[in-house]
Amino acid sequence: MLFNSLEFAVFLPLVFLCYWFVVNRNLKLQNFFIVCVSYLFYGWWNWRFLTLIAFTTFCSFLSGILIERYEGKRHVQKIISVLNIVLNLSVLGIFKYFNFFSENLGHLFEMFGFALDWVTLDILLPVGISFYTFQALSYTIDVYQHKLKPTHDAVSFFAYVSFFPQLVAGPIERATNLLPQFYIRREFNYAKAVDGMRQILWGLFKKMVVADNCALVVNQLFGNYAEQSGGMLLVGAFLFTFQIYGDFSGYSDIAIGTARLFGFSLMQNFNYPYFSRDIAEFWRRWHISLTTWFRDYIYIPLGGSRVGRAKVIRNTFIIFLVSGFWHGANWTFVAWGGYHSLLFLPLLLTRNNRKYKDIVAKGHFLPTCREFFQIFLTFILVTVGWIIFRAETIGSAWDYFTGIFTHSFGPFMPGMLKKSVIAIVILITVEWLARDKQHALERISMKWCWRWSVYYALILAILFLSGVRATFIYFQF
Amino acid sequence: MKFFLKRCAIIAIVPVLLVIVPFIIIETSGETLSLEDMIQRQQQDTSIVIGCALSYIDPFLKAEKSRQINPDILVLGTSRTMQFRHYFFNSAFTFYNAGGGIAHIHEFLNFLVETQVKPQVLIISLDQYFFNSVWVTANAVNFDYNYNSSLTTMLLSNMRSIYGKLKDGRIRLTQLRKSSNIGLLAKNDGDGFRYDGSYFYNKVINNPSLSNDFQFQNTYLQIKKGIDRFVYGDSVCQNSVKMLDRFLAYCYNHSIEVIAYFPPYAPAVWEKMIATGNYSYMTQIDKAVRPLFEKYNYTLYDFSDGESFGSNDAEFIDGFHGSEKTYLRMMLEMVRKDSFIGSYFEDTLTLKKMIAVYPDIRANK
Repeated sequence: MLFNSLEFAVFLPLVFLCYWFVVNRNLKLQNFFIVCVSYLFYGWWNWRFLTLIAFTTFCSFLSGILIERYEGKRHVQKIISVLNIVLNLSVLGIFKYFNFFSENLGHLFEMFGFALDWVTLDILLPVGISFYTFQALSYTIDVYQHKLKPTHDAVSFFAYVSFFPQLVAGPIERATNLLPQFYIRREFNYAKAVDGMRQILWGLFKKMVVADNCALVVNQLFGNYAEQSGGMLLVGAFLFTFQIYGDFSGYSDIAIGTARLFGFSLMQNFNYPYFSRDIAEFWRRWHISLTTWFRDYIYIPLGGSRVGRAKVIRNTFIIFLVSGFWHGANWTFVAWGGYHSLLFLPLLLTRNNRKYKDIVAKGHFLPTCREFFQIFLTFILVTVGWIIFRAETIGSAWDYFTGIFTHSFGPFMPGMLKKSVIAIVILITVEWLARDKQHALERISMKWCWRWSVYYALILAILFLSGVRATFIYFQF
Repeated sequence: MKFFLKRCAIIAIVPVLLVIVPFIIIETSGETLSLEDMIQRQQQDTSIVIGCALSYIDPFLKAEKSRQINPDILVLGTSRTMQFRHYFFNSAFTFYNAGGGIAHIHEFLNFLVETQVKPQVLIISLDQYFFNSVWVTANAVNFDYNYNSSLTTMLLSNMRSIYGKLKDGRIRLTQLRKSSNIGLLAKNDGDGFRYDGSYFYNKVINNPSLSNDFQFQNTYLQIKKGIDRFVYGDSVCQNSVKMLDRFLAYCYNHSIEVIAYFPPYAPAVWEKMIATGNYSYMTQIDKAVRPLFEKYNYTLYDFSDGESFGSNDAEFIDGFHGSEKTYLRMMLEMVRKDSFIGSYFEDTLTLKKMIAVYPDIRANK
């Protein structure tokens, strides 16, 4: 079920009413209800995927209990957690990466003159598999590292892994944050619910008006870049930069807002990343839940930045390449990760990676010239990365990029860009004004009539200005 | 909680009210039916025409039905192939008109590969602007064969246009319930794809003055401004020639006999275009692509000027769409010139008889 569908528009109010009015008296029942509706939500795509998520959840739940049972026997606990990690990653590997490895091995053997008929699997990629697998893994690792007590409450654990707002595209929650929220009785909080609704509204605007309108042009330009003018290729790259942000951060906003309606707090996943002054700041603000996951479970265990230079470089490359590969079984994602590691390394090695922690132009309406230049430069570097990310192959990414400079600059087609440009201007303006808040519509300090005007303007924009509806980009990851 | 629900209800009233009318219209129009259901309904009642106004269904419908029929004779191209009818051809062969199945030259190959159809004879229209470098650059798209007929998509993509059509009287609610056709266009105007894939221009045929190109005014405007399919150009797009070569090679390797033609413009329109001197690419196309047809031993006809094969302005639906009568005349030319393809078509005498009974566009039902 998509957040931007009529089905969800019916599903959400019904689930909300049942949750607060029918099953609200019993915590266990309320959690069980969450599991049921989450499985319904997920099974809407394909009910066969449910067995997979149930299997992943069960294995992780069991591993937690077994780790507890073998308390004091560290090597057994290690074997259990490694087994669970291997099992979960195997499921992910088969469904997401099998064909990639198979085909690439085939090509490798061909290079040495062995023509082998490699097996490829004709399987569907289960929606959001990378997200819930990582969420389940974090539980096992945290339990093993004694950061979290294992749960014996299967219903809560199943609810934690399958919680429908963030099930298919995050934020990737940590068990330490989300799981305890299932143990305590939730009370309806008016302010939280209103804030959740606002965040949903803004998320829908970002997805349906910004991202979907940009997608129309982007698909056209990336689909036939060989025929496009340099100017249009440049426009296409910028539009994809906003499309992916509107799409993914829009999803996160809807997810966080929806969770708030049910009394849950999810972590912030995007913190206005396009207002970053360098790449390090960008990575602290972009897909925060994934970045911190890799930091905590891969980068720090490898020694992080508290080791020798050579190892720091190695660790940085590893984390970015793995992060790229997490996005999909294609060399373009790996190259995208590699590109960002090259941008990030100089900052890390010169210890400038933590230079900008605060919001940009704090206390000022506009940035200084220096800040503006820094934001612009970072934005350009990120945009180049998105060309690699969006292209079908590394070769086509290169052709697209060089096409910007080698093709004739015109003609432009301003007609087809109008809606996207207007939507982007609104997005940048609103988010700039709200850059010190959790989300753009948090704490709107306006008279009620102006506030409601904003709500209606956004609703009407969604209804009348949305682009052709597309699925969320990050579902495929 | 109650206060929260009240506020939500008040906010929801406006969007719900706004959505209800388009929702009812879309549901009753049949535009959300799956392609399989549309095809099945048309099979059960061959008088039904399918004319969707809210989604771009043409290539998907044509691909799906071509896949199902896998006809002996397939017509493939843009809207400028849509007037070939099943009864123009020898009834011993199965026929389907997939006109509208493609909109760009690279899609010819995509269509055959995606649908896996393998006709004995393939008739294609090489729209002149496919070879205009300027048009190709401005209209390049990457088409995928995923048709999404979900209600949400239809609703949210068409809210504005539905209200616009209601305002202009182009959607009549009573007509929606009465007609058994599928799609808003078909229900309201009777326009749409017939069972054999050809297109029925009911509205223009019955009332030519309602055409948005009445007396070619719109076409002349496009020529004057150099826009849409009439973008000026002075060079042939070499990439388009390469794509055509690739496509013809595919057909040759799959033993598909190809008959191609440059589709006709109304004589008055053609004259005007030539007079402007802004379409010099057109005079270079034949020279650029004919060698390819000779290489594969395929046939290519140049029908660009409607007058060259005996048609006239009165036979045209609009400036660049001939009527069935125009297409009958084109066929007659083809049969006369090529004995091989003649075996697939009706004989010249029958074709001549058909032309004689077609009193210009008004009678081409």
